[in-house]
Amino acid sequence: MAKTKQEVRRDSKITSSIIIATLCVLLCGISIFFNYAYKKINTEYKDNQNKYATLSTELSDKRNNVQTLEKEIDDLNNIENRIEEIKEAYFKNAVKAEELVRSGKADFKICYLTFDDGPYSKTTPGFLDVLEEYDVQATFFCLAKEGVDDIYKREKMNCHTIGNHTASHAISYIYSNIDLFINDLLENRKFIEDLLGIKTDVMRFPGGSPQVSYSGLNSAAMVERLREIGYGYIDWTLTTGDGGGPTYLTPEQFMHNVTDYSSEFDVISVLMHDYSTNTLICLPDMIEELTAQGYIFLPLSYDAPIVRK
Amino acid sequence: MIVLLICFIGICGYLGYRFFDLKSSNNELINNIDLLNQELLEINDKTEKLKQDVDSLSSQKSDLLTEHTNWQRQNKKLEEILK
Repeated sequence: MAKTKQEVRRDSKITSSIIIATLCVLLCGISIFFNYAYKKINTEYKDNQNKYATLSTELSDKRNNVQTLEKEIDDLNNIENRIEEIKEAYFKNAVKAEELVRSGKADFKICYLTFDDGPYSKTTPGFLDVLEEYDVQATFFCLAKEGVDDIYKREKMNCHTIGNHTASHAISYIYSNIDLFINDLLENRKFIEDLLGIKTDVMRFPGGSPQVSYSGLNSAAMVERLREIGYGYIDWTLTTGDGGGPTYLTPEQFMHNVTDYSSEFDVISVLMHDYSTNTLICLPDMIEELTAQGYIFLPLSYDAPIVRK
Repeated sequence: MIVLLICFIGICGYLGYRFFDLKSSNNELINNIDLLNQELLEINDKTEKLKQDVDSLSSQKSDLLTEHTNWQRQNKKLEEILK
């Protein structure tokens, strides 16, 4: 029996309602699933955000560490340049100090302690110990000697000036003509430069500058040659007498050879030899006495007014 | 019924969009974390190497470091005297 129009419409409505209801249920299920999955992934996302923040901080710290280390390496690589810079500043101040003293505007005096003929493996370390103990800088006029590299290095490390005293100190040979003398001097310059990386520019003549004319050489020509190769030279104001004076002198007398006369000066250079045990014995008392007389102790530099050019 | 269906479609669409959007952000975050971890490993290696270099240079240059410190001290002392 055929359905009436009304029945067909009713059936169609029922079918549509069932489909829509089914779709609604399905969509409801999907929504519930999405909501559940969202909550789950949201927890994970928050954890990841925390993790990311922690890692970022850690990475930033590590980057800073790397920068610090790289700077440290640069600093270490540039240390030789920085030493040169600070030495330059120091010696400028030292020149200024001597100029102040010489112009009578300073309340201190200047003493350049100098030690010739070393280094000596047995005695020089003792001198370096005393100077270190008193925090005093000096000048070592060295020869070219093998087997005492550590001593040369220690002298440099403790801010003493290394001066040139010729390679051989063979007086009768080197003073036979100016060229021989200059060659011997340059040989020592090269020896020291190869060992320490510093170019000496202050020298002392073996026997002192009068030895040049005693040997029959032209002093003015010698000084001109020194100037050409960039050397200034210095003799001495006072000496302990350890370089060939009377052998019976005691350490006290060595000291008095200096301290009894030093008060007459404002700027002195003291000649000593780092092979002399008597000088070593009197050195602490000498430093104390000179300090009491108002002296400060400086290492020599080419620009020091006391150095002759 | 149709209004109800439209509402459900809207809600479902919104929740789906929200879910996939967060999932994509989370994946991006996970990738970034992987990158950070990788960078962290590299930087750890670099730090170790740099530390070794610093140690090695410091021991090689310990005399120079001492000399530098000594000169700094002497210069300061002289500057004090000149003040």
